[in-house]
Amino acid sequence: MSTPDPFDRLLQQAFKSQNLPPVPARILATWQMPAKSNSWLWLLPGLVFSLGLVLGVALAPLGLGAAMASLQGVLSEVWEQLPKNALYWLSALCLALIVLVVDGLTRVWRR
Amino acid sequence: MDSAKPDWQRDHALAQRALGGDARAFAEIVQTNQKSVWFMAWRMLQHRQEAEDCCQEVFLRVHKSLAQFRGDSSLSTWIGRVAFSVALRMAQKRKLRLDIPSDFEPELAFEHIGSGEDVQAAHSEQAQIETLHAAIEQLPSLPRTVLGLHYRDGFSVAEIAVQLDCPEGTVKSHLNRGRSRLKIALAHLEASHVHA
Repeated sequence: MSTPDPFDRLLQQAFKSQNLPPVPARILATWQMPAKSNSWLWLLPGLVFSLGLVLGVALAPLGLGAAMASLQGVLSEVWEQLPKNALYWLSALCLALIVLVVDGLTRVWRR
Repeated sequence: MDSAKPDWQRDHALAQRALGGDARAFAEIVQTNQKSVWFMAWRMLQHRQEAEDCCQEVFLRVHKSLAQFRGDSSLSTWIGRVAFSVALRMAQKRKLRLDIPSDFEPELAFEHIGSGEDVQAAHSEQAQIETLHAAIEQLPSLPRTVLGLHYRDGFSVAEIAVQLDCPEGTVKSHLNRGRSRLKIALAHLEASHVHA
């Protein structure tokens, strides 16, 4: 049996104890799948808006009367103008709905 | 169970899963090999940002050309080969000193300094290892990489030859000249203690 060269042993020790910089975490992170989130998360902004609206209406009698009155004023003004520009309003609403649905479906399909 | 399979079979199965679009399988390949690729890049380039860019390019190439992996060697050797070619190209672009000059004659330096064994007997192991660490940093990229693959990562001469895509004789030559350089560094350590 051949005895290992002492210099070889020393080299092995030197290389193994060498202080090399640690592997950057970014290398693996690039190739890891993103954390899975709920597929219905895209509904959240709409939900928050609706809840806000309901809460706003519910809280109005508790001291937000003036704000609600001015909001009502604005809304009634808009409401009066609505028949004149009904087509524009309708198309804007449809467009917003289409964007929302396409965006949501794309997100669901991507998962 | 995967751990019961031989290495080549596990490598092949993992590559097939990654080729089939399983992102987790590719992440596993990266996780298993990132350390050796990082060390290869670091030894060749000695520059943090460039070594990181090199690693990203290596895994991008591995991802693109995984279909070419035939299983003739282990997956880590195959990835090592990709890593070496990318790191070599980057080192050449940076005009780094790659090799020890061919007229390097270590014997002349030993004539008046003493043999390697004398050196080892004369000084504490810790001092020798510190000297070697500094000398390894001073080596040109190729012998530093070859020595690191052999002494740290435990690759055989044949496996290193596959990674470097060169004959085994060339690997042995890099090993011998690198070892001689490091031996001289230890001899200088001895000489400095004798004169002190």
